Amino acid sequence: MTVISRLRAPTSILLKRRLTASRNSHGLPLAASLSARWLSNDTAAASNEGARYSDVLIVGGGVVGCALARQLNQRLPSLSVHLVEARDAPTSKPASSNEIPHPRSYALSPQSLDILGLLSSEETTSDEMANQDVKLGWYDAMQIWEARNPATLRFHADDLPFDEAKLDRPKMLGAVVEDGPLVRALWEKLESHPQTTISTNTTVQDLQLSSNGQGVVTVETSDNEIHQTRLLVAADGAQSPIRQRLGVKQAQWDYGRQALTFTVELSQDDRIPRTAYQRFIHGQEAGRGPLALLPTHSPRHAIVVWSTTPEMVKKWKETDDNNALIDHLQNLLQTGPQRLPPLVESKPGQVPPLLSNVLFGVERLLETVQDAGAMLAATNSRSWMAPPKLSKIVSPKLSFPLACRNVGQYHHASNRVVLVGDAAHTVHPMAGQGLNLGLGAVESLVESIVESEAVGMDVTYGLDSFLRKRHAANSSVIMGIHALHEIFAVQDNVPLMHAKSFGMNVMQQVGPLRRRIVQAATQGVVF
Amino acid sequence: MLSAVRQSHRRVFNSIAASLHRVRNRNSYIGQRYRGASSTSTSISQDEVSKFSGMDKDWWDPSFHPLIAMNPIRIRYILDIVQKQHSATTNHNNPNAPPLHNFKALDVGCGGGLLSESLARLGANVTAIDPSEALVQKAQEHAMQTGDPRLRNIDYRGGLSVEELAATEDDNHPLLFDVVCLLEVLEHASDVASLVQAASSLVKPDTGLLFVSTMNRTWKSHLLTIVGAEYIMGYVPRGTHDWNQYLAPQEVAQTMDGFGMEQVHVSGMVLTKPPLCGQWDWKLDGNDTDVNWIGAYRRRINPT
Ligand SMILES: Cc1cc2nc3c(=O)[nH]c(=O)nc-3n(C[C@H](O)[C@H](O)[C@H](O)COP(=O)(O)OP(=O)(O)OC[C@H]3O[C@@H](n4cnc5c(N)ncnc54)[C@H](O)[C@@H]3O)c2cc1C
Repeated sequence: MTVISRLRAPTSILLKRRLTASRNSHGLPLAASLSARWLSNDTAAASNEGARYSDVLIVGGGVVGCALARQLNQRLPSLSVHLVEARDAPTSKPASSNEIPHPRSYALSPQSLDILGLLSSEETTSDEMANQDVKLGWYDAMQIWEARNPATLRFHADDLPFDEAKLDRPKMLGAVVEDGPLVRALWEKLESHPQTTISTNTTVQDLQLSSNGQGVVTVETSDNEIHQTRLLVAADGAQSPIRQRLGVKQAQWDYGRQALTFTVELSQDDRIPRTAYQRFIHGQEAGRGPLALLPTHSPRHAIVVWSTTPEMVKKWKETDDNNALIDHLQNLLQTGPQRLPPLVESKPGQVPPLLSNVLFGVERLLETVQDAGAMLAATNSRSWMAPPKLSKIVSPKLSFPLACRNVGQYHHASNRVVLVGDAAHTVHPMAGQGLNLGLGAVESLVESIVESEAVGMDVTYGLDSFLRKRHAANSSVIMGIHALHEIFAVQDNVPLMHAKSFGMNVMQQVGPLRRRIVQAATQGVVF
Repeated sequence: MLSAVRQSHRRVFNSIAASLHRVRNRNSYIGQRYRGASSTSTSISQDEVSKFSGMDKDWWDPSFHPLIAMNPIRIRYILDIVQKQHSATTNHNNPNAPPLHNFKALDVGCGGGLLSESLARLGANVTAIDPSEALVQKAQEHAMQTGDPRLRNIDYRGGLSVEELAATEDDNHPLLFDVVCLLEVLEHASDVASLVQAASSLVKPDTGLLFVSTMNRTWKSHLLTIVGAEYIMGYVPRGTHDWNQYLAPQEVAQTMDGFGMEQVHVSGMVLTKPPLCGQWDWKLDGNDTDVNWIGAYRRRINPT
């Protein structure tokens, strides 16, 4: 006690902005009541005998928060972890397991599946979740096309570089995984870990940093507990009350688009091959934007994710005529790529001869590239293939707004607070990277903690350099997705269509480039 | 010019690493009186105590990066040698136990507690001594403030030299450690032999290890730490280092030999790249002990 009483009382940073009652994506009130209790300074906090200490305190028990806790449990079993979740614990598995996949599913890259312990290797098969409750909808190819454009991109697991497609694993680009069973499986593992505690139906009311950054972070929760931790991780979703509380700014582009998603049953004799499909749609009436059809663990079912205008989403979400919706989408998905309208109408005299010649040359060049693509595709079965036919909608229709947001960095408050997952960034679902990005940051964070623990340094040591690297990598993906969206959002611009098509065909032709893209840009499925 | 340089480093001496505890303003030194028992001989220079005591405020300041950044490789070295030494004798029945579980460690010249904290996190029962009471109090506060429960049991003792600690030992109460650390300490000692003798006497006879890190006295270290770091780059204030206090591994081995200790291993510690933009990135280099180096010693089995 003498030690404590001798502690200098540093002026603590009191974060004046109280948590406002905000809602997360599930429409849940996060901080309904505000606590009147304030900690005067961190000396009081340090000597607060009633405070609960944990090495790492994670706020938010979504996939990202749970995955982080699980990773820490596995890699550093002696580290104490506390998880605070606003909702109830996931309900245990229903007795009659539902065969229809829920539309809230994620397309995950092999790396993400690995982080989640879903890629079973020999030693872990018995222990891990693979082949158990979490069912995977593998895919080893993806096809991206745009009607009225001759370009098709097909990626195959064979495009992966050798070390990516590990020999002891099935070759694949990724798998579609349902949110519910995944979170439940992770949660059960956490519950049984001796060093992990969980508070459910609990939100963060207040948080306080030590003035010099060396000290613990103090967190007050709605169940009137005071927690102290060496590392506070905000995995509290897109509305992240912690991010708002810290006043961390995000770069933001609102697309004015929404996504509509639901599960479909396929026609009688159709099964979805292990392929993820995405078509870019143009034209107001059709519902401009990317439309994706994703395989699930059930070969008879697929998930539709359609990112389009709010009017379209509203119209089709509210309609009772699901058959009309199916017909509409069927039409769009069954229309393959076409030849482009010519870049220059070859009416003599319209364009000065020299320019006309140049343009003609450019056009031939583009055509050659396009045709070369088509020719090559025809010979190696990389040409466009019609997706399976849809029969009916078999799930509720969900919608969510689309925005691209990104924080400037993940680490804050002298490395004592870290933002991960949707708390840090959201992206257009077009490329299915949302969760992959979050899990990537989880991996970096865990790696950093493992390294500092190995040499007995504090968790904050070196954290910034690990997270800065990951932030740079994630940000380039985020910008890439944003750029893709901007490019494909442009309609009826013939030169741009040529350019896009040129780009897509070049990508298709150039092996190393395609590999890079499979690796980097589309490590999830493009949808 | 050279003699002027020499004169200036003779006034205040320090190592590169210790210089890291940058003395910002010489006038702000707290005139801390060394409160060691006067009867016990001591290797501690009074100036040094005052100088370091004045640094208690910014010991954990991130601007100490050089020393903080050097700590992980010092620890890696210690763990590596300990593991080799103990692989034959101990069989861990708990694979999850931290690497220094149940080890008794002594950190001589603990300063702000950087090394002590690491040893404690790795499972050791740490005793940490430093002649400066002010610094040790700072170290203690820091350990509490970080909240890490593993740091609560570090036995910090301020105002104590290793000679004084060794003197408290008697046959009925042998004071022996598995690991004794003299890291970045020899260069501050006025009497290296006395320091080494006291530290050696605290090393467990069979399996105990004594670790030393300091700087070698070579033209290269003069160039890098004095001409480069002080005069050209200005990383540290001029006159921070006293090149004459630097020691070669052979010299330390010889002193050790006099007290029944033999060298187990020596390695250099080198920067992987020039420390531009405050990025100090160290690595162990077995071949280059020209500037910073670290070594391990144990009691000689058959004293000759
Ligand atoms: C309907 C829908 C479909 C989606 N489909 C896809 C897809 O197919 N592929 C894809 O990659 N991404 C998809 N996304 C995005 C994806 O959901 C996110 O990238 C991912 O869920 C991020 O996980 P997270 O753990 O960071 O956040 P979340 O899953 O939002 O989890 C945040 C958690 O924090 C809790 N919480 C919030 N505030 C507090 C508080 N104050 N205190 C305590 N707990 C709190 C919440 O209850 C929640 O459990 C979809 C999103 C939605 C809404």
